[in-house]
Amino acid sequence: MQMATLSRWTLTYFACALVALMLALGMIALGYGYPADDLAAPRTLILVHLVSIGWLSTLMLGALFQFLPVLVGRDLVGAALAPMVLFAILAGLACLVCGFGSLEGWPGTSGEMLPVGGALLLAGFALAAGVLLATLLQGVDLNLPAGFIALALLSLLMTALLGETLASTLAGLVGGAFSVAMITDGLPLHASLGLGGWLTLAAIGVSYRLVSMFLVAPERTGPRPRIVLWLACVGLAGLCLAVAWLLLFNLVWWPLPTLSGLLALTAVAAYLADMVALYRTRRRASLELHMLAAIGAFAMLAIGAAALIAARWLDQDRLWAAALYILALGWLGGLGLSMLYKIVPFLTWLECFAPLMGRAPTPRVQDLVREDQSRWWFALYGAATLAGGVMLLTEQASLLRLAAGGQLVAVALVIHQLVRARKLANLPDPWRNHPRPTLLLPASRRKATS
Amino acid sequence: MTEALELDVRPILRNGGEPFGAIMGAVNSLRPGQALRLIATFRPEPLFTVMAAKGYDHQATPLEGGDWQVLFTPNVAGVEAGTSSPDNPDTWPDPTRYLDCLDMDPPEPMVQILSALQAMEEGEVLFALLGREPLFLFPELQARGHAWVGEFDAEATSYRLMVRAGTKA
Repeated sequence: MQMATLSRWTLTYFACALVALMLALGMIALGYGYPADDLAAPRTLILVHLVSIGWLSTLMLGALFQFLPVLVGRDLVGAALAPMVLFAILAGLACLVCGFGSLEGWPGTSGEMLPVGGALLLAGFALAAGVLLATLLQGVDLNLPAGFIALALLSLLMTALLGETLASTLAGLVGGAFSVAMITDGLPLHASLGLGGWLTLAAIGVSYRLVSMFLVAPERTGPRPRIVLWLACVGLAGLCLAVAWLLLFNLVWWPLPTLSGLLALTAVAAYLADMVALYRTRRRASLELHMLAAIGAFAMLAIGAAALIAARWLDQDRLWAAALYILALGWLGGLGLSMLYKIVPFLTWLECFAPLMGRAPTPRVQDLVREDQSRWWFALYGAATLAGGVMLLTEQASLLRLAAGGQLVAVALVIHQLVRARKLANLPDPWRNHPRPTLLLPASRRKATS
Repeated sequence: MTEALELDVRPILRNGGEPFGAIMGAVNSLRPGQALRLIATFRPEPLFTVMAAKGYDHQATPLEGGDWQVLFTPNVAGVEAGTSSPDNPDTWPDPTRYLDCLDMDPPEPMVQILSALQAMEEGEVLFALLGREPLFLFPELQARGHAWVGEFDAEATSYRLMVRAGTKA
């Protein structure tokens, strides 16, 4: 009989991810990157990778290490590799950032740090994908969420491979027509694979299960979720073919990624319809804060997708920037923050109170956080993110900084709540003096019971 | 012989509801020796196992329009309990506690199941109906020496769990 245990390193992943998010928001608030710099300028790329790797990918991997074993009913294969993966990713990101900095003339840095960082990231992500795919393949049957996650992991590998090629090109290790093609046409493919293939597909897969679980709604069955999966699959194949085309002929045959984009948009529409159906068929009448906040994230996915269509149509930098901002920080970031707000208290509750269940009264998971306060921070985050997107669209640089400042404050206050949850600081009197868990590393199961 | 009690769960099923609670309610209200006539929109295979564990034989007959009628009759010989062994669920006695956890938000099902087990004597059996496989519950059951078997129902919409209470700590 299979059982799930706590993933020891997940909270460390979450903490690193939140630090990267704070760093990125702080830099935007200080006016770093686009629109003061170009969309593909090194300073913008530093920000983009802090968000996509530091915040979103680290968050997603931490969540998958905990969640995937529950999803497939099997233990995580190679769970001991989790800290090595985290180290490789953080070291790789630091090298990558320094490498981009070298293009800006940062002292003590050199262009070679780009491919070194890319290689470290490739190693970290390959290790993570290996651990997660091996766990997936052990499952009895590949259920729908697991299918999405498998596709997402393949995209992650493609993204990292293409990223390493781009990094080598930027560092001047490869030249000629290939380098020109890579920098002009490889970049959008790299971004589509990362944001769309890896992060969005993983979020879709995880949310199919988590949303139905948290809303106590019947899982989505029937053709629609399968259509989403198949559209994603064919769309991804189109992107991969486009990458192969680029590598072989030094150019992108644009019908391929355009077709992928159309399939992806159809998939997103069908997925959102499924999410609406889950909310409609829920058995829980009142929505907890994390599921309310998730509605904002789903709305951001719709807005971001519409902005993406406009950007592809008109091909203006400000439209691309606004679409990516809304998708990365509103959809993926918003969903991530809202799920953290449930997952961190839930894991803390399990760690502290599982041995007491049935033997002594236990608090509710909701008692670990203060929803009445936090709902304002989530509202601030959502409003500020949307405002940030609008300011990018209207090229109001100083107001964008203000919006990012608002996001930064909101994230800091949500983190404060998560820390209080870990410290059991919000619990009512009977549990106020309950032994506290360590802030970042959960105690192992054996330690907890002995 | 007492007349069989009739329960038609088709309205519940057509509304997308879970009829398990209603069926168990009817079973618990049966007089000794009384049979239950159940009418459903499908052949309720998973229920046969549950009812067999409670000592009822079944006889299923298809009705017009794809509906089914099942007559559950008490099987006097079947309820004779031998020695119950934690490793062999076939030897477990009928459940004495039933929990419907379908509408509970995690981790409430775990809390309810473990609280119920805490009050049960060794060898007693609990039956719980859950919305999903309770993977975080299993380490706790194991740590406390309870034995369990579980499976999804035919439509994979609910998970049926039987737990045999272990020695009290």
